[in-house]
Amino acid sequence: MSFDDNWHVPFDRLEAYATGRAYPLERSSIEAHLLACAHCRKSLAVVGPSATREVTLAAIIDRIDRPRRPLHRSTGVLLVSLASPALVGATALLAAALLAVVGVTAVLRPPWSAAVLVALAPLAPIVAAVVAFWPATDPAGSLAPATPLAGGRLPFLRALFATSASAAAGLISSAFTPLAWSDSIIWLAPGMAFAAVVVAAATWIDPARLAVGLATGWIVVCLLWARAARSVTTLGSVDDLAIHDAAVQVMGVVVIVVASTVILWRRDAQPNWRTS
Amino acid sequence: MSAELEFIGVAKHFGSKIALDGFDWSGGSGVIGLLGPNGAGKTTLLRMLATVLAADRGTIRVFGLDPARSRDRLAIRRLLGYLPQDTGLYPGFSGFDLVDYVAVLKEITDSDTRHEEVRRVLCAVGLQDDMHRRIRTLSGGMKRRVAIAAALVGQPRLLVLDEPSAGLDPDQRLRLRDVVSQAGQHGTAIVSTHQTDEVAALCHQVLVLDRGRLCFAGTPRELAALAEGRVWVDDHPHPGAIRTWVTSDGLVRSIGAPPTGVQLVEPTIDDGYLFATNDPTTDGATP
Repeated sequence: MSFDDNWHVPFDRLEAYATGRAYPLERSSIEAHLLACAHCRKSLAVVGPSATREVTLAAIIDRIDRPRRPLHRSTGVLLVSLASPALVGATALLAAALLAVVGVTAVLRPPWSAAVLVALAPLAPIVAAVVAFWPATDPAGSLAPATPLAGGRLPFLRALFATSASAAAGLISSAFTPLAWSDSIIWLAPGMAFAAVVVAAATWIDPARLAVGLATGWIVVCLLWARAARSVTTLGSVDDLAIHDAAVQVMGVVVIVVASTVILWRRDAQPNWRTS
Repeated sequence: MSAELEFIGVAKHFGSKIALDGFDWSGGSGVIGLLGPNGAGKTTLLRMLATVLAADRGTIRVFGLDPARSRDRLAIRRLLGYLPQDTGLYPGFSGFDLVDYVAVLKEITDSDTRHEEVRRVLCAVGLQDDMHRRIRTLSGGMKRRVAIAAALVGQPRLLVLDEPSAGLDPDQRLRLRDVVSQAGQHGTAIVSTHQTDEVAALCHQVLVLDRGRLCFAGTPRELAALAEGRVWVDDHPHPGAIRTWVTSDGLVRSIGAPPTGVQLVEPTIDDGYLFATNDPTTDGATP
């Protein structure tokens, strides 16, 4: 097919196109013509340095051939880089686990319903923070750690994505527990505080090890709280658990603020560099 | 003026295994080949140079910058292109998207500039017709070329390539030589390989590592000359030889202290390498 078999792109305009000096509109017009005109494609092959020719032709082929998959369009590469497919999968699993915890609390007898929610729900944001630092969550695999952006900002942003998404799932599903709304979300501040600490400390300590330590400590503390609050008999009440104390909640918020400040301060530091 | 790359007493252990043991060397510019048997410490050295691994002991300087300092590390990464031995690329991406993503990580924010650069590097490795195929559908050699393209993004001043030719066919190896030699013209390219012919054809300097120590540093010609007067052919093996093998023409080629009356032959870079890594008297960098 051809627009006009007798017309071809003038040599000087073809040269301007090959060397990147053509105007945007002229560039589009020449590209449209090149797709249909073998003569001008041949002429292009003798214009300019060979590297330029290859790249120019590749650019044309690229526009024709590039698949239009929503998640794989290069226009969406920033979104993909932040919420990589592996991370999205892991986050979805965590959100599902959180939903399961909330579901279990709905069928348990008190005081165990409240104790299970308080003990297990904060673990989801902690695990989400750790997952964000796994090398497997980066689409570029081992290529990524030697690049400038992979230092600190990208895993920090990924941790924010993963913890927020899993916490949001827990927050929504908490509304369906037999607990009062204000009681059903008391796990949120400690959970986000632990996650923030894991991320903030990642440039000094292996996030997985710290997360295991914090999670274990939290479960032990919850067991102690539940033991001390054996008098809790009201359906789903968390009044007698220490976590219900306003001071504990405020402390969680303070930890989040402090840890976030550390994250901002350490945003260009390489997480877990010394132990890699 | 200090050398572009400098290692002073660099050591690295993994548990009880010594990966690098007091590595000293300085140099740079052009293409540097890194030879050594498996487990010699080549990958560890390159990972340190690529700022993804810290030394247990010693000092490393890359263009005068210290990778142990966070700010310097970031500055080094802005000058660096790194190809690791095992890449672990996400198989659901196309080659174009993967390299585009790496370009994002390398802070090329303008999408038009970035896409042009992505196409340039993919063309440079011969993937212009396959750049939009998903990585899971590519052959091993093509995957390797995608990773090489990603390392080339941004025309890095320092190119660190860990066994780049693994899985490439002879034609692609020639293309890779062209790419690496171009990189060596405007900066430093350090290439780990098991291919001595590649080193002979490509490298201005060659380093030979063995058991975590540097046992040779010099030009490829100097490496071959290391075995000068110590390579001979005969019709039977000699017990005093360090290494002996039968060549394609049926003769027995040996390296070591030649016995009297044998026919000495011109050493190749292979002979020099075998001599450097097998001679018990070779210890430390020469010349």
